[in-house]
Amino acid sequence: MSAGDVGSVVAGLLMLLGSLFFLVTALGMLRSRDAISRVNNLSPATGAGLPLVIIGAAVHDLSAGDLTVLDGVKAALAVGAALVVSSVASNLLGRAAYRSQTELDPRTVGNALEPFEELDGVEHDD
Amino acid sequence: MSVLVVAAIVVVVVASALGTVQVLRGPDDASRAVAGDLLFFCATAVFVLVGVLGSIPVLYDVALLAALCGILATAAFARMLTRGER
Repeated sequence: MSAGDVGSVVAGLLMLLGSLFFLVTALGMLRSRDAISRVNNLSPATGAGLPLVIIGAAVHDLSAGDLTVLDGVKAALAVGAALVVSSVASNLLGRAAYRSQTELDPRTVGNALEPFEELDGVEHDD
Repeated sequence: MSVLVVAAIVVVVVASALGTVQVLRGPDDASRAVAGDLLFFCATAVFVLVGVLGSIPVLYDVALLAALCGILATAAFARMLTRGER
């Protein structure tokens, strides 16, 4: 078994692991009960799934010997962008989802937005 | 190992099918927006995986652009949910 074979198996396993993060995200979205939990549930797909798939693709091309330096830089930038841009996007969407919903899932622990944004249906302790 | 790549494609397609169920089920607009975001990332992942199988030369360009411009769709969804307010 040559180094190229090992590399392609590792790449395939990385891509399969990344795709499992997408499946976990979809299942978690179906199980959660309000919109802000679903925004939280998106993080495994964008923060782990997509970067692992892109890294797997780069490892696959590297082991096949046809990864140019420019492609490697693009892959690294894509992984960085998937991590940074998606967290900013999740913040935006999370705040909008919180404002658009009328009540929180009662299992929610802690609410840092509560002093700033009033929800109609949320019961206050004080 | 194209078997592993095909298996990964199947798993991502199943995930996007579940995301479509989430879009149909709702129950509110924000949940649909989040599920739409998941579908976008699933589509990107499927493209990258198919690109690995068929050695498409623009694979990394598409991955980079999708990762960079994915925020535009999400920001538009967020603005729509709050009816134009910030």
